[in-house]
Amino acid sequence: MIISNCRRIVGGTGEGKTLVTIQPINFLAMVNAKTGTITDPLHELYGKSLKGSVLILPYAIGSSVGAYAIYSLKEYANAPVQLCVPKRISLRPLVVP
Amino acid sequence: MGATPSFTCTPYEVFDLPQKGTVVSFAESNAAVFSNSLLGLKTNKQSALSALASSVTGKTPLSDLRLEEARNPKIAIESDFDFRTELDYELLGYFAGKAVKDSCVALNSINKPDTIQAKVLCAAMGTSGSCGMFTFGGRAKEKISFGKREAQAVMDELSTADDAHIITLGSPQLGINELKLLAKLTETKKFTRRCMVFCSRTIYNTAVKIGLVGKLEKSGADFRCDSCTCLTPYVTKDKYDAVITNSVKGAYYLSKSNKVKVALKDIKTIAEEYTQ
Repeated sequence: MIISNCRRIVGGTGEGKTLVTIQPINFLAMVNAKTGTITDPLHELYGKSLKGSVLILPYAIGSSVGAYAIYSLKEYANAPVQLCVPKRISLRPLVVP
Repeated sequence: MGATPSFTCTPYEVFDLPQKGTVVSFAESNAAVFSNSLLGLKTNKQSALSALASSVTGKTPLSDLRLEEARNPKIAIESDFDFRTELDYELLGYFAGKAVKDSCVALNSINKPDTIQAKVLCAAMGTSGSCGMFTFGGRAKEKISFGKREAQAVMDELSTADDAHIITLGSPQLGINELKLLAKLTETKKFTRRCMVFCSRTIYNTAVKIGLVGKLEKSGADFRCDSCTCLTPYVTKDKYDAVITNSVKGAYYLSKSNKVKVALKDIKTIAEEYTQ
């Protein structure tokens, strides 16, 4: 799959199952780094594991400590393999086959 | 490396500030919003890791709020609301952060908040969204209204308890202004609940010197440095079912991360209801 309209911030490659959400994520409040899952029942990815995923979210929200949460996900080997943050996700295909 | 271990989320109260217009790299969302909106500094909402990288390289990405375009709000929040307490400003901040996807938002028709109110407004805005700046007034094309109904909706979302066995104050960490106010509100009285007060070590040391810590400890306040309401390991679900606080940011993280219920009240109400 090719993701269009994104600017590369960090290089690298990765393969995984795609997780797409139109809701922003607060990584400090909504993610359990030890299990890698989304813990907020109000989020559409509730219960889903970020481990090994290609995570596409519009943008991150909340505390700057969220960056530590992403770091923790990596430390616990639960991190996504790719993060794509296009700010606005339209329901028309962002992911072009 | 020359770092000063301040362990604070309120660097703007602890360190000398650079001149207006200076580009800085501030982690901690309330500090980023406060710097952009009230101090005339320019920063993106950085993380501790990227801010640390900036301190080593002297550089920070030329993007988003470092560019003038992003600093001009496209959306304004029009308030039809009688702002009385710091909590009212927090509800506005939380609402604005959630409603606006841009990096900057205009806040129209509000009385200018004092420093205490502005601090918590910034923290609330930084919590609910990605907004890193607000302006007082501004010619924005799009308008969103904030009134009693919107404020109540935020309260319904964040205030999930009526009462609790512990009060936590300080997210952001309290400054001298807040400690003075608290001392005035609790003078000659004692807290009827355990009351944890979070402030930075620098503020604590100053407050000890001018007798504020002594006064507040007499009222039963229990000081904690280098931490805050929303990142503390002292307040967890094993120990407490619910917490009383005046911090919207604290309320959000206590309920989402620590799964603790929250009774959200303004500082005057807390002092009235829980001291005697």
